[in-house]
Amino acid sequence: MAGWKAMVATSGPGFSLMQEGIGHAINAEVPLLVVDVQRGGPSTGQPTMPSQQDVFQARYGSHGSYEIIVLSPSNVQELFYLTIDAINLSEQYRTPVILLTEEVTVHLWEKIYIPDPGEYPVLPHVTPPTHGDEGFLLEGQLHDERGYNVANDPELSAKALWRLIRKIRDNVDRISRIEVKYFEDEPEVFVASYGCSARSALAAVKMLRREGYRVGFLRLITLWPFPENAIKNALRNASTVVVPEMNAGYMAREFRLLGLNVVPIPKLGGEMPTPEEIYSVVRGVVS
Amino acid sequence: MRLEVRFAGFGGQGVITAGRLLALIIIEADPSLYVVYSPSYGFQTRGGDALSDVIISDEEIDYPKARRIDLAFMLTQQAYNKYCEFVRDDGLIVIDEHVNKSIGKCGNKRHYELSIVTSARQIGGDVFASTIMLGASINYLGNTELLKGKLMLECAKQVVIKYFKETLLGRRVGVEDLINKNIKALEIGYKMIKINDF
Repeated sequence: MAGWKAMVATSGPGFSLMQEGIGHAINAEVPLLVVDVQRGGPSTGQPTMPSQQDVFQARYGSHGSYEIIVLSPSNVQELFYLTIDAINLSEQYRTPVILLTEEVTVHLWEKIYIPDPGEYPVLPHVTPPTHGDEGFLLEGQLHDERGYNVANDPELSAKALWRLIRKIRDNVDRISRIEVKYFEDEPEVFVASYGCSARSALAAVKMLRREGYRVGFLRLITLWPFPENAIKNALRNASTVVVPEMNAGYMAREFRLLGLNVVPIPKLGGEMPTPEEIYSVVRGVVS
Repeated sequence: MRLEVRFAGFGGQGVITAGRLLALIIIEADPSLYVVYSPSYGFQTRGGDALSDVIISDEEIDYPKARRIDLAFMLTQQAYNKYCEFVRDDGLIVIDEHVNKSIGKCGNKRHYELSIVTSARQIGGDVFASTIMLGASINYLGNTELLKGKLMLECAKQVVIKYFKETLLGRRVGVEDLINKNIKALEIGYKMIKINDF
């Protein structure tokens, strides 16, 4: 906060322990990167196996009303760039950002390009301004823009909390990113996924298209805030979306809230969904 | 074109190291290829099932795990029974001599029996199975369409030496000896594959 950019990395159980700190960082507006390498849970469930079971914990894990930024890389190169992006976002919005990845992606070895210093944008760390002779006030209770405690004042508290929420909510389209492929022929069916599962999804879409099925591919790069407008726009001609993910079908619900016909592929057990599994589900809904 | 290699066995036999080294060697051999190394193992450091996959392709690699395997090394009966069905019909299953292929359901596939674990123990321990398999794999893969003429034993040795120098950095004694043994294992493995057999 006072001078250095900070990041912390954990997997599964450690992420549960960090929820209190994440809430505090949101309220105190501390730029911070938290990396959660998801393993199978609950508890130490499957400590060496990948999962995507923390997608809702990343969004809702700490108590209180808040918005948060969560990024989901699909390969090692993106892991590199999104780490920088996450720190940039945390500085820009003065909030913790979560890089939510899986055991698969972080243990992969892939050839990556490492840019020279200055080639990829890196925001400077900003120390918050102080007012007059006072130091910067930092605490877990609600505060106004100057850091003064407003917790006893309903009106000012509401204003303070709305400010924290709106700084993310009003910038969803600026923060959130998706990747869309194979949309040119306006497919009615899309496969939508994120993280390592998106690699299986892409392989399945390629198989389907080789056989002449019109199927599109959508990948969430930002999980939260949920890129609602971008998805609606990309899927404007689609009616059905198949959502493979390594949990009990969580992000599928978000797609359902957009009014789409959603076919979830919830995969538990510690293995990525295979392209064949996704292929066979899509074959059942595509004509 | 996509080539899939799997090293499968017991934790402690070096199946993870074999995969890492193969990926590094191929990246060195042809920087224009896409290579993914992808491990999978239980929570034990030694013992328990362990495997590593290396996917090599001239196109970007989506799904990072092996599912139609071109070359598989199966050091244990368990690994063989579990994964032999994922080997392509025109692929090659290399099994250790202790593995009984008549138990599995892959009788119609191409098998190649090698004395991997015994040779490793003669060099100094089970862990040298890693570089034996590595040697065998580069000899075999060097004759595939995708990698023809690209994999040289000498280049592989340099990658292996560099890798162990870096990973054994914290060790004070015995590093030279370990590297020499791994190079010996690499050579033994390379010679184990007789390309004319295929």
